Amino acid sequence: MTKEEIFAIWAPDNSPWSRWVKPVVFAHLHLATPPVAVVETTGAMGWSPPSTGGMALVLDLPGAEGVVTGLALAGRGYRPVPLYNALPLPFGEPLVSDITGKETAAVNVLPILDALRYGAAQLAQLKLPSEAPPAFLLDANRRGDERSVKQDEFDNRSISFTSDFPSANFLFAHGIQRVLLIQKDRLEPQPDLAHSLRRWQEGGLKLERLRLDPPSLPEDFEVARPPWYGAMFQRVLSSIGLRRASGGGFGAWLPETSAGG
Amino acid sequence: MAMASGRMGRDAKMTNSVATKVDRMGIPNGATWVSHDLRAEEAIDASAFSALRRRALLEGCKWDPQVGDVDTLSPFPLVVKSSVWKKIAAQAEQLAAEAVVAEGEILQKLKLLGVLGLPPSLQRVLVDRAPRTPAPGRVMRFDFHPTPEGWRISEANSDVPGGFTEGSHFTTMMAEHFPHLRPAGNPGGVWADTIAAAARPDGAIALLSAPGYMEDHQVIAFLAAQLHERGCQPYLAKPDQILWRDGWAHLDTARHRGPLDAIVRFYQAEWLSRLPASIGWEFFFRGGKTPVANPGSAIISESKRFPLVWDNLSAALPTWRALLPETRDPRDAPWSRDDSWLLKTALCNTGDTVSMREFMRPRDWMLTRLSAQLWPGNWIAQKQFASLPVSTPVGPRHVCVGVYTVNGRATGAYARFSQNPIIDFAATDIALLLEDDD
Repeated sequence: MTKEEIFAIWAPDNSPWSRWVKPVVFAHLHLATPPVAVVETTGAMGWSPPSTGGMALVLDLPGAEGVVTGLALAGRGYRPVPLYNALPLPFGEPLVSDITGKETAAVNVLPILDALRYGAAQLAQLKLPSEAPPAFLLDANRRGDERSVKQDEFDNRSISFTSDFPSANFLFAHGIQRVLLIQKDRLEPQPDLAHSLRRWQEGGLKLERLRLDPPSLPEDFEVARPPWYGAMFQRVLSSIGLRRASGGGFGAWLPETSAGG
Repeated sequence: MAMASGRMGRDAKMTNSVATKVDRMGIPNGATWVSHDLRAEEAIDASAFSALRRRALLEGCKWDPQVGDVDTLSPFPLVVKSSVWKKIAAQAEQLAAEAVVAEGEILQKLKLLGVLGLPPSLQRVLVDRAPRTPAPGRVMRFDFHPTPEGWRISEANSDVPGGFTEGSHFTTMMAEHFPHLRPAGNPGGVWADTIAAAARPDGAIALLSAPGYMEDHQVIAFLAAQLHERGCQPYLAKPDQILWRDGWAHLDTARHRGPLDAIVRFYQAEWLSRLPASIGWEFFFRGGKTPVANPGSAIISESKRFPLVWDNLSAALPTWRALLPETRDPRDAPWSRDDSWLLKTALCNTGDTVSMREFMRPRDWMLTRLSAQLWPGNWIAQKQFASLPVSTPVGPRHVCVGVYTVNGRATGAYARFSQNPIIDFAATDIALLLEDDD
């Protein structure tokens, strides 16, 4: 399949959620050579709520696990919506440097690319209905997995922004009243994602969460107001000269505006 | 408000067939105004646009096609008469020429730099006596808006203008659906030609952006692809991966270690100046021998406080004076009691700090007001102009036509529209196409 065909399967015209599919990893599908074997498997899926319950899912899972789990959820009636937003590598350069033998990118996105490629055929066969509720897929390692980025690495860390998701109004309009956050080994949302969840909470959506390892039962939760929450506060900070650091944010990863006009 | 509904014929002159009442922005209540210089075509059919959108995403590095609930790519183009385009293109060229002269003069007048709201560390480097780091070229974008008094500009994106894929790749694809229309140019292609010409045939070129921001990555990735097509070796990097040795820039990454032929930064000058001194960021401005685009002096006309120093210059800046609305220091304007003034920060990037009370929540306006009062040197007050909406298939929309100049020559446009007069990061990108005059 070409990358166009693969993208069309993950972002079909008939799904209201396709507009939010992030294209950057699909644009680089031709770079994932040699293919990386998809080794991730899903565990028991008993935690999965029925897709008829007015619930959207947010899977914040590491690497290709999100794709694999998203495909399993597709079998249960959810529409997986990939929100992977990291540049894998520019111009087909190898994952490991020919010169140094070291990995060249801070975040290894190639397993995600391969999972999307190999999962496309499976997803196409499911023929999901247009009204399938969304399962948004994020890479829990997107911010660099809390390790220091080496000086000579390609810095492809990424942030999840509030603008990466539909609004609460849009979700309500499509029958969604609740959101379930699924993470591998933590319950608290990552700092960047907390902004989006807080927006939804303020918009009237009920939030639930669960952990896969060790497994926890779904529980209601509320997101406290994140530090620097709200665009206006960022305006004020920028006006007094507090700008994002080279790593992004005011010493952390924070939603903010881009460089250019 | 009277408005046509549904699709209109391809040849319909929508601006003539729709009467739109605008009751704010300086236009008297009850008046009916629309722009007569611009019109919208009908949208291309949904399946064709879906395919086009996919190409923009997968081939054209358009990686932010959705911002919240807003689809940022328009399925219909904006159309302007050739004669109108020639006029604003000529004005953009005049603006570029005047800006470059003024920047050179301001660099000689240290007191004036202090007015611009630049970080002190950046001011210190700009006034240094070391030779200015050369530049492989200069790209600027001037944001034009139709008004009852003719075209006006809201600002110049002088330091790190973006929008190349939208103004080039997306616009070219849209033009393929309208054989009687044509793009205004290919700004991304011309800019890439200019950079490539400054390097060796297979020259190594670093393109810099801040990590983590896809809307920034997509700009340099698009330019990198263009440079790659021209035989260059482009490398995406961040500023602290550049090592300066005797003024020459070297890239220090696992992918490439060695000297660079040129650097393109999509990293604002004031952000560079806040990096640790140990990385030698001053070489991007002064003392460097490797060409860097845009030149560091670009931050001068990028500052929205640039107009505050005009009266102290020998350069007359007639085009700027004619096209930019009256701009004052916040301490010298009645913005707090007169809503015909807006506020914005000196180094406003994507329209993110453009502040008009009527379009803001009270709390946000209060914080803006507080900030402008506490740190007035970082803000400007600017007289609002009446933005004339253009009638489109989705209703009246405010339009901004960003005209690029590369080395002083107009090279194309990046157009956007919005439901309200503030054109910011959540505006919709729209192809600007030219038609022959009747």
